[in-house]
Amino acid sequence: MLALGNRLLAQQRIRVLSIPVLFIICILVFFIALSQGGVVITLRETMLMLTQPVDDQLKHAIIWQIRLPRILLSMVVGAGLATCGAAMQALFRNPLADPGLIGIASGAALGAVATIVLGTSLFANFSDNLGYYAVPVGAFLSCIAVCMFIYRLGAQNGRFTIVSLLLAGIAVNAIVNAIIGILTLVSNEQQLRDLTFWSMGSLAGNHLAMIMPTLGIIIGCCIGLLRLSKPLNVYLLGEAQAKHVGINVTKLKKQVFIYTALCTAAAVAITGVIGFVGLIVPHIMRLILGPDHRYLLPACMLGGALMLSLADLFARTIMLPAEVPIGLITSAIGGPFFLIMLLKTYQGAK
Amino acid sequence: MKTVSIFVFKLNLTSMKPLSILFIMFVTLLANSYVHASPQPVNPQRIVVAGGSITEVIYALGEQQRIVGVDSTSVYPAAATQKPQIGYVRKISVEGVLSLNPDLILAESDIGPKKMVEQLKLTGANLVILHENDNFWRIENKIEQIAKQLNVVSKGNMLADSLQADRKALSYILEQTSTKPKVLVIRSSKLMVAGAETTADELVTIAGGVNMMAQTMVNWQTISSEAALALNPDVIISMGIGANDQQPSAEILSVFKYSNAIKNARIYNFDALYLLSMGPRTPQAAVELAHAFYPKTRLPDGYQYRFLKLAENSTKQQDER
Amino acid sequence: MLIGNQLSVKIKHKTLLDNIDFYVKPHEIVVIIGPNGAGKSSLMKALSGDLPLSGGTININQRELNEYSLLELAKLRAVLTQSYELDFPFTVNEVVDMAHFSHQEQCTQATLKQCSNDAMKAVGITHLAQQCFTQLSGGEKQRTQLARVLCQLQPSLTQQKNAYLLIDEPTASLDLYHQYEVMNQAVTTAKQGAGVVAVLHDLSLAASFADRIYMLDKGKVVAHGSPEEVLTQRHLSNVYNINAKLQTDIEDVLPHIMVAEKTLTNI
Repeated sequence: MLALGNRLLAQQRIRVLSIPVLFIICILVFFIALSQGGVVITLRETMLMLTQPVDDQLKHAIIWQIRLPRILLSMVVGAGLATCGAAMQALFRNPLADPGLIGIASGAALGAVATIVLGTSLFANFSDNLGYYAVPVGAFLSCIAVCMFIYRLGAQNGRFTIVSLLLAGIAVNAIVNAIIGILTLVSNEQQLRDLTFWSMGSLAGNHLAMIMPTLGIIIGCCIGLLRLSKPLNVYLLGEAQAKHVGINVTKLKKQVFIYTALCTAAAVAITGVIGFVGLIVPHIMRLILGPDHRYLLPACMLGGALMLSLADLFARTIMLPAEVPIGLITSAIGGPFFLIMLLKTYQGAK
Repeated sequence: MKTVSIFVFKLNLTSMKPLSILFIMFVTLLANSYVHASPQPVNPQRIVVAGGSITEVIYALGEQQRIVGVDSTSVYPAAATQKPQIGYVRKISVEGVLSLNPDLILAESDIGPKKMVEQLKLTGANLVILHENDNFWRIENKIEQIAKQLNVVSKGNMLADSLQADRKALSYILEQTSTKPKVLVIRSSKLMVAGAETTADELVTIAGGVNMMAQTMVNWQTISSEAALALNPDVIISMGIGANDQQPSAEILSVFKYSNAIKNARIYNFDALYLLSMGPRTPQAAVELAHAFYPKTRLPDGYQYRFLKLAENSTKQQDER
Repeated sequence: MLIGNQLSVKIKHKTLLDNIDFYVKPHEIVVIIGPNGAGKSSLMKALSGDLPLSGGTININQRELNEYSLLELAKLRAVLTQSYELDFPFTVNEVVDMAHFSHQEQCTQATLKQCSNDAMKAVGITHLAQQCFTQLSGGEKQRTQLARVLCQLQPSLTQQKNAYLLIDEPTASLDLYHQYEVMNQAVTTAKQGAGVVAVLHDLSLAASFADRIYMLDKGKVVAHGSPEEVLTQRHLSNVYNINAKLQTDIEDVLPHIMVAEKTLTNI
């Protein structure tokens, strides 16, 4: 547990300020990210391009076909991952939990791997009909299926205990990883590379129509989770205590699980596994704002959007004209940053 | 719809419900996401290549100065690696490619991911994908197609014709043979062998050998050392990329200690790109492979190996030309 | 009234509560005592609806417990449990404010805030308001939770509704001063109209503050009535195996348990 020093009244001021400040930074980063990339387009040109038609087809295509969908996706997925991370940490009353813990992410991985490996044989119909939607759709469906399975296992005889959820998640995680292992074994070299790249995560190549369902689901789930922030605060007191205060704890747990599963499924299905965002953003925000979910969850949304869009900006610009896998960047920036925060906290506590 | 400013939305943020703002933004975005294809240039001067064999062909045509970017599989000749890198052929970066301002993007059929290719097409880039050319018998066709794209048809014909020497040499060797050797193709570093449906399998068959793993497995797969001990190949082809990587590991040498291949010192090192890239060097590599299978056969009179087997010395090769 | 009729709780083959009749009226303090494992906490959990009954019924204000929604129940009774799992760095203030959850529709923010402040003042933790809960001492944590529970009852008591306070060993980790302080607070709450049920280990405290006492042993009520009726030498000897008696007749001193030098009765 990250202990905090005595928090002063100043924290209240930070809380009130942080969300508008983060929001403004998000908007700035949005425009900066939009104007940066392999093809040189100035900020001025970018602004013009957003507001009126231009003659330069290439630049128009780059802004509208490539960068805009990508930045939107990175922001929304970042927001979704961070919010889900915070919600999971509340659900497990453990600041180290994330959706990967109970097998949600591996459910998506199973679908993606299965579609990549079996897409030419067993699922040929599925792959042919959906084209390049096949992998995200497969990943999403399989993630939902795996989550439903975990949910059923966790919700035995009318109860929905965290321990049974955790155990079911771990068991299912192991089984799913075994199946992924088998699929990897029978894959050919090309498929192997494809699934390796998938598992490293990428935000590239999705046009606007393709990301719309994802954005819709993630935003919906985030709003759903935001509405649960008060009960989640009380839930942290303990299950019995929350019940005494008037909260339907079982229903709350189920809601959090469903929102988190849907949101993670939508995010992971389209981008692959992007680690660290769900862990580190809630942590940092909790260090700055405290554990109150009414502030923490919106701050995580904005912070996640910020972190992932910045990471993606790095990913697509530092090794031009090639691109670095986004997962590497989030870990490379996130890891040290996280360490510094931790060290500072412990020094502060001494 | 296109003229509506995003800033208008921003200004209205306070007065509108967030969801309706989002909805309107999405609609605007969709309305804006179309583009026209640009006309194709006749004589491209800025070429981005995705696929090692294409790079090899362009270098063999002597047109390398027109390449402005290559993918990470383009490692032969070594000079190609000095060109700007666009990433792995199955993981290209669209904007990275576009930032090189290419007038032609020449790609092998395994360029990907599909959605990137789609995006690349949408930007109006001049993308040419060489389909169905990863085949030993269609290398000439691939060369001619590339030459056509580069507007150097006669050079292309010359290069394609020159491969006839290798093809003739191959059939000349195979005419002199009777029993086919059992061949095992293995990665030099570990016990990973080529099964059916691999390019290595295709080449072994073409060069007159029998891939002993083709019956039992598909793709490249790792086998246990015990399973390896039970095999008794007549010839082992140890493959890697680059000179140092081709040497079979100590593990391989010890596992196959009692096989005919090691007893008779018939373990050969091959560069994977030389043998398997399906570029202009591959027919020559097939001849060399066949000669390794049948060391007692003679090569046709006057036949010479022209291409280098390794990328390391290729700069020298370029200078000699 | 909060009434338990013939309450039985069995988990697998173990009987935790055996046919217990229990009631508490508004304005009174009822204390449950008994040796370790007697079923005090089980009774408390049964009364707060945490433990499913295998027999009997619980009524609160003439309605059965199961008929209430959790939110309605939260307005009628507050529960202080023994242990807390909270290890997220909330401030004391925030922890107390969590009591507002069931009242936020009826009461204004200002009223609820006033309740929090009153409750913190009542248990003497106003100076800790901005401190981090996880860094408090055990006693301070206990008092913080008590303040939260008091705050939860306050709106109902102000509206003259019959509400109940269930507290399980509220004095466990407190020093002597705060033990009496907390019990005085229970008395104040009872005076405001609440029915208070407390599990206590300290028999002297029980004798000093209880209007009625239930003495439990092995899941059964052994004795029930005023402190004088329950804390007799015979009961103490039978249930606790100690040789002791209640002394009530010293002037200006609260009732307390006198334990004989030869403590254990079976030696």
